[in-house]
Amino acid sequence: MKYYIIFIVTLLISFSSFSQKNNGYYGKRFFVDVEGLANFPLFSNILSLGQYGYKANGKNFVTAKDKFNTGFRINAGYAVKRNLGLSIEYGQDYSSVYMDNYDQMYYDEYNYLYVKHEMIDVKTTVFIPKIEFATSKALLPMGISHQIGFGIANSRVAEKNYLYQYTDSYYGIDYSPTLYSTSTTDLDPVNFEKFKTVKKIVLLYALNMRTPITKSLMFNYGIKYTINIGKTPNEYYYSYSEPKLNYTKMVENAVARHRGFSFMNAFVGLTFVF
Amino acid sequence: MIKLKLSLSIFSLLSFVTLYSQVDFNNYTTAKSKGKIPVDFTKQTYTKVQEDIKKGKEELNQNQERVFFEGTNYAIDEILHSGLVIYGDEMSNYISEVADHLLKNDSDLRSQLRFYIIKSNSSNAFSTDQGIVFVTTGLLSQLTSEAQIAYVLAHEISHYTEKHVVETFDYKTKGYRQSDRIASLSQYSKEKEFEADKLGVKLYNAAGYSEEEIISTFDVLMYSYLPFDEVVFPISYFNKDGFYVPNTLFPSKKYEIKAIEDYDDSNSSHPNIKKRKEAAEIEIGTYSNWTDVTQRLGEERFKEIRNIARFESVRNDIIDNQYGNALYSIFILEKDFPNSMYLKRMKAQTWMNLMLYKAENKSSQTIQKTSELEGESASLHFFLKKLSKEALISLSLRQVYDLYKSNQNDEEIKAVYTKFIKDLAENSQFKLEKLSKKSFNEAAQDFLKISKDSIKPVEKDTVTKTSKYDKIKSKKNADNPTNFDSTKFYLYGLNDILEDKLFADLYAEKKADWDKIEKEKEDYNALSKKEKKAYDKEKALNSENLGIKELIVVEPMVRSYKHGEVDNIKSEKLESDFSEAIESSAELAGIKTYSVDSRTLATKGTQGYNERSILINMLNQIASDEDINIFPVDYQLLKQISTDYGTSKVMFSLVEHEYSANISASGVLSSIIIYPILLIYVPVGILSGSNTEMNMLILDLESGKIENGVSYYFKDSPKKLQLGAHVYDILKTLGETN
Repeated sequence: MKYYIIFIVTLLISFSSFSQKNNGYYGKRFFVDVEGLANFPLFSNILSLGQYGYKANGKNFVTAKDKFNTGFRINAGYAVKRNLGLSIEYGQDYSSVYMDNYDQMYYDEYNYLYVKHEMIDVKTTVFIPKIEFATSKALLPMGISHQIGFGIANSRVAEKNYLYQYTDSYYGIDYSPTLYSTSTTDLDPVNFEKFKTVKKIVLLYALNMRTPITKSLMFNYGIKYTINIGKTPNEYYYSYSEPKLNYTKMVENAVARHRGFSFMNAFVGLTFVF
Repeated sequence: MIKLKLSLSIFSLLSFVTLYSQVDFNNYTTAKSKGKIPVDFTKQTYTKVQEDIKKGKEELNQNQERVFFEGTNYAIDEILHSGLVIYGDEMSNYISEVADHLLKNDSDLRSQLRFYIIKSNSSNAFSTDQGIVFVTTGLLSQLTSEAQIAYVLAHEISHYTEKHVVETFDYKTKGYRQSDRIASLSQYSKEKEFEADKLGVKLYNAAGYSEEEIISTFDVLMYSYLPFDEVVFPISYFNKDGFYVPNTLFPSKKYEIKAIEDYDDSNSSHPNIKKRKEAAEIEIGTYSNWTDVTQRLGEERFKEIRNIARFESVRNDIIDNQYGNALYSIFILEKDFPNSMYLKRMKAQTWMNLMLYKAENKSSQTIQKTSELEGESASLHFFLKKLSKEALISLSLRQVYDLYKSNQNDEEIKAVYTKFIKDLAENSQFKLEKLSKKSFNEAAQDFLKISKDSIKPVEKDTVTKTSKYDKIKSKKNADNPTNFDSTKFYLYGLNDILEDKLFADLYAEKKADWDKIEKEKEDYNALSKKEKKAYDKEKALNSENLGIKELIVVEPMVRSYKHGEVDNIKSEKLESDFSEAIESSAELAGIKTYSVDSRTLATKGTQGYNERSILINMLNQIASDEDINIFPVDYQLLKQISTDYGTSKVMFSLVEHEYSANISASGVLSSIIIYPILLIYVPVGILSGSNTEMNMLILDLESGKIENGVSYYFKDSPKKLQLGAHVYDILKTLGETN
């Protein structure tokens, strides 16, 4: 009975340091994570913040919500130390993004626009070098770890015919709204400039738990938080001197906002250790 | 015909040996379990709980049954597997035979009971609801007759038959405190104690023992906190061959024994002795058929059993670092067993350990406090307390050296002596050159001689020819008659040791080793911060590589907590997982392991059980003070284990786990206010709630030295693969060579 108590006392008092060597997880230090990730933009939907979107129903708009976004990640890494790892994350996210819808957007003293746009499908490709760290006695890649990374997120709108409504109005006179359905590649001739991809530097923090299933396979799950670094464009998408709506800016703004509302992603996957 | 007679003679002899074999106290080794291992020790606790639940208990509801059986079985098994319990030995057999006699008319009850001995100096006996009766060696060492044992057993059997454990069990605290199982298991209410006393008298009377021994049993219990005998410790005990200890170091008064029968028992679970005696006397009066039998199995056998218990008490005291008590017990026992190598070995170990504790200013832990001094043993405790560091070192040297000189062929004493000299060389308080080359008597006579001549005028030449430094040296020289001081008795009487070339060589060798270490320390201190860091790293890496290829692995201990309490069932399951993880990881790391595990006792039997007990006892002894490298009390047995397994390295391990999500109400509230912190706070709190601590200790059986210790803390659940990965990491490193 005394065994238990004194054993703790002895060990706690006398020994706290051992093995800074890294023998890896059963001798293995390389790992590859394959993860599926998803977010439920619950907060943006619940809080709404005036946000709502539209989906096309033939030539009509119906209000819609962004309910579920998915993606995948492949992460290859190496446990440099027991509690320090380096890895590179590659992956894609697939999201439905609200576009800005304007009832009245003045672009000069007399003229204003009505704009209504169907939600766009955005594919974002991420490439993020990361550093993983854990408590001093951890044994990466096993167990809980914190990951921090800076990388690039490149968003592209999926090619398809989107429905949108565009009305250019003069103060006091409302022109009839016009419905258009067009793909992102042929947004002209209604004052939309062509879309370019949106590249952003992103900061990632992830809390990752890898639970061993076998000596070479782990169950991997956790939460990733991704935020944009850098300025989000202002909302003046239209310039009278150059009468075109800046579609790239609109998408950039929509993607940034979307990322803000759904910055937290849960992920689950497998880790192969070798 | 001759053949038949011879066969019969051999048969008779064998029968006698089986029934009662005399113990050779001169070559005594600690009592070990014998015979077939009882099921109590081999069955898993979880299985016991399930079996008990299946049988049920009428007086308990379903929930109470679960709590009761879980609480009692885990508590009892913790005792059974503590390394302190023995079965099938002379003492267990003896009390079983006494029980046989007590229950000769109730074979059904007898068949339900098992009797085991606990190696502990606390005087106690207790029964469990499962039918196990434990008796401590401390109690056996104090008793004066077989009849007293019979009464104690009758009392405990009555607790069992009256189901006092079930009635007293505390369902809120699950019965027992973690810290002291024995004390908790032997606590009943006063009413229950009176009832057991009363029924015990009935059972005892039916067995035909003397009435007088009942009352004397209460006396034994009252004074059982004192040593097992009251013998005057002579003040001349240490005066021998020119070594002299002044009388002033011993107390001038006697320390009275304070125990009284009528103490205040309001806060005690047991009634006071006076009340118990009175109640017992009334009960005794109800019977008229008393005999004067105090020994049925023979006085010689009783005394032998008691002596075994007394020999064990010395070892128990050494394990518990109670060196004052150990020396007093040895002093009593060596009168009857002057040639006992066991006592000599224990004595040598005790003196060495006393020196080590004194050097670390911890000797007060090893002897009684002044307020506790009572009886004749107080004289020895008082003396040990009064000794200065230098005096104790000299006295220890005198004692250990003499034991070694007169028993040079004894491997254990030689090992103690060698370690003692090493410890001496490392002790900054000890300076060999300060010791006198004279005996105390010679020094005293020389002093008296010059005192008589002191009226002679000092020669002028002496004053002028001697340098200042020579004069200082002369003043410090114990051999200079003018410097003689009887209070510095410890400088004299070691002259024969100083003249011993073998001693001098060994001391010089150990001193050189120590000086080298000291020099390394000095060099280290001269390093810059950066250099120290690099040095530490290099040293840590090198020191971890022990080149271990084979390892004895003692079963791990796992404690899984739920709401702050140990979840016994989960812990037992995790223990089994951890055991398997160690085995599998060791194989992967290229280390051959030998498991010493309570789970394998059914196949390994009594030998496996004894090995496990010895190893756990060693851990208990060594772990008692992290600063002191204690000599293992079971040196020979440990050496035997080391020889049998082909390795001296043994690993102990402990895992503790608790899941507690790191989420607080205030945290959640703050996070809601500062949205979106909540989205980080809650998941992090949930995922990082698992806290596991894994401790592993590698000991060397022969030196008792801690070779390496690891304390891991990680935020992960203690599953087999997780633990195995950490074990692999440790063993891989330990298996490598520099």
